[in-house]
Amino acid sequence: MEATANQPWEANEEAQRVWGSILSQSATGELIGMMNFASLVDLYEDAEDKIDALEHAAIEKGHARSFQRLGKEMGLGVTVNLNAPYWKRIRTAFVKNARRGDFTACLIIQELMLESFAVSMYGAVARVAPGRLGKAYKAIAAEETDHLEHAIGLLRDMFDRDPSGLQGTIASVHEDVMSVLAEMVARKDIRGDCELCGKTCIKPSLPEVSLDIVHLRGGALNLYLKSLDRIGLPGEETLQWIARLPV
Amino acid sequence: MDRPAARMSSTALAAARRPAKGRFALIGHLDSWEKTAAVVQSLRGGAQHPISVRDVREIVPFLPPRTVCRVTVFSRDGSCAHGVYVDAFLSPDRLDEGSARKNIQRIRDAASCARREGASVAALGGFSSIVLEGKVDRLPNHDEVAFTTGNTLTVAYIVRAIEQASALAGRPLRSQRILILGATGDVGSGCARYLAPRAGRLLLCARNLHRLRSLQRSLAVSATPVAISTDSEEFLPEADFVVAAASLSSPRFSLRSVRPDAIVCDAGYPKNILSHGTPGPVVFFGGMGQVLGGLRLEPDLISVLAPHPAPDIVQGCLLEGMLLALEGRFESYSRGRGNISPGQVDEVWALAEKHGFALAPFFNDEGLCSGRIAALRPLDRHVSRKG
Repeated sequence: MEATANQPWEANEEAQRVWGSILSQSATGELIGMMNFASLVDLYEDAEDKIDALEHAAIEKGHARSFQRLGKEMGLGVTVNLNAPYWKRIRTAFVKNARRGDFTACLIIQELMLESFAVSMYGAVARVAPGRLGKAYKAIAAEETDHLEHAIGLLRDMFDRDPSGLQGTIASVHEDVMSVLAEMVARKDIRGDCELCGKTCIKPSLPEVSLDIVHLRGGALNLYLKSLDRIGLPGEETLQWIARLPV
Repeated sequence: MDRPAARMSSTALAAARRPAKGRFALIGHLDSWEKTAAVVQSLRGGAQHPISVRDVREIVPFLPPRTVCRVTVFSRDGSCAHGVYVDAFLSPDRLDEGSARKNIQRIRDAASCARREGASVAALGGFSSIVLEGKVDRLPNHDEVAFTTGNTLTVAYIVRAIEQASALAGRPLRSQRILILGATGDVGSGCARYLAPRAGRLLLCARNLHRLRSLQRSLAVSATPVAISTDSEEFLPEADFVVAAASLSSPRFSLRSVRPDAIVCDAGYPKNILSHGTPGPVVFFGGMGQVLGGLRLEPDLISVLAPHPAPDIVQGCLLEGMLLALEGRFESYSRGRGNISPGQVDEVWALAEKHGFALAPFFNDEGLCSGRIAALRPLDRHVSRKG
């Protein structure tokens, strides 16, 4: 069914709250991505690298704006909260690595971990979202896929040159960032309110829009592990990383 | 008897002085969610809070097939072989035909993983060979990796166990009526061909009557009478031995239909024929071998992957992969369906003996059970009645 500006679609109140929350998470996540790339601009010394980082930041901002605009047109409440606890912890981990000039760690956080989750979840949302919402998620998922593929290529080259070095870096970042993402997609809120859902957590209501947190989490972990496999990391090592994540 | 694990350190030292041979991959999956949860918990380590079976059921089906641990197997000749255990992460409760397409894709992915690991030979454990019906040439990279179903060594362990149980119970095999359930399968038919000239009477049961008749005709060269039926209940009250070779997610016969002094070999996968204790037929898990030289797993998951009452017990199908690697025979030793000959069984058994891949002690879900089989000896029963 095609959604219009004035009449979103025939969705009950709870379903609309779910869509609003999904858009809130997406828009906030994209703006965190924008800030992450912007942080790199000052740190890079090469002009081309600075330009690339700015362009990436602009792309993430564009995605966030698309989500906000769609929410507004469809009459959905979209919240942007850059201090939402989970996102703030991810941003803090990124800034910590950026400040010490660890660009590899920054690449891993933004382009491998966050993009793996974004590609998987946007894809899942695109399959069930109505009309323009579904098309927007599909288009943005395709762009994020390009970013993920680019990162996998770079990291595979790094792994070939220094397997234990890169493995150590990913392991360290995994502990900082993937544990936060795992808490975000756990069946229940592990650390309380995400501050993007509104009055109550929307996870139990995801079936209202033909989604469920078990499949969203599973799909995201699956893509993350496959990405690690393609970089060349040993399967038994990454399996232990996943096994130790919070549930 | 020395514990094999106790001998491992000296064997390992000897092995370290000799070059390791080609790599192997063991492709398998776990047969229960409880065991899967134990593996995940072991990987989580002690610092993490326990993970629930529910969480495991929700997460593990999404894991891409991958290497779970590195494996080193030590031969008693002092050599060793290195390999990996690759889990296909098939859901233990979705091994039925309805999930075949998805499961085959997972096995194909596991096969690709075996190739990435540089395996020269890969054994297909549990349902990973069953869903393919032995058609290993349907796997990707089968021209680079020799895939074997491992069924020949499984058959060797089953028939040796029947022979040993027969001797232990004081019953000459030549007088015994042996029922094989799942007789037209690769393992079942291999057992039938081997046991036909040695048994008193062979009772074959399977769902496909056409295949049963064909197998019966092929066994006519032996003087042993061979009867067939598609109804498992028909022969159960008659059988002295029952070889349950049909791999089913749950057994399709009742032990109540079996004679109380019968011996039942659960030769399928998963092992799910539970002992009913005494009185009643003795059940043991068949098709299992024990590596006398020892196994080393990194990370050390042996106690959760193989939680058996004696150390280093592994399914015959997986042991065949290790055996071929130790021998440097990178070939699809067991492939297809219905191709296992008595000659091959003898050959693989000789190799198993050479490397110390012994028949596992008799055990079932309650623990070791050699004593219960020995108690079936006529004299023992007489003494017991007098007591």
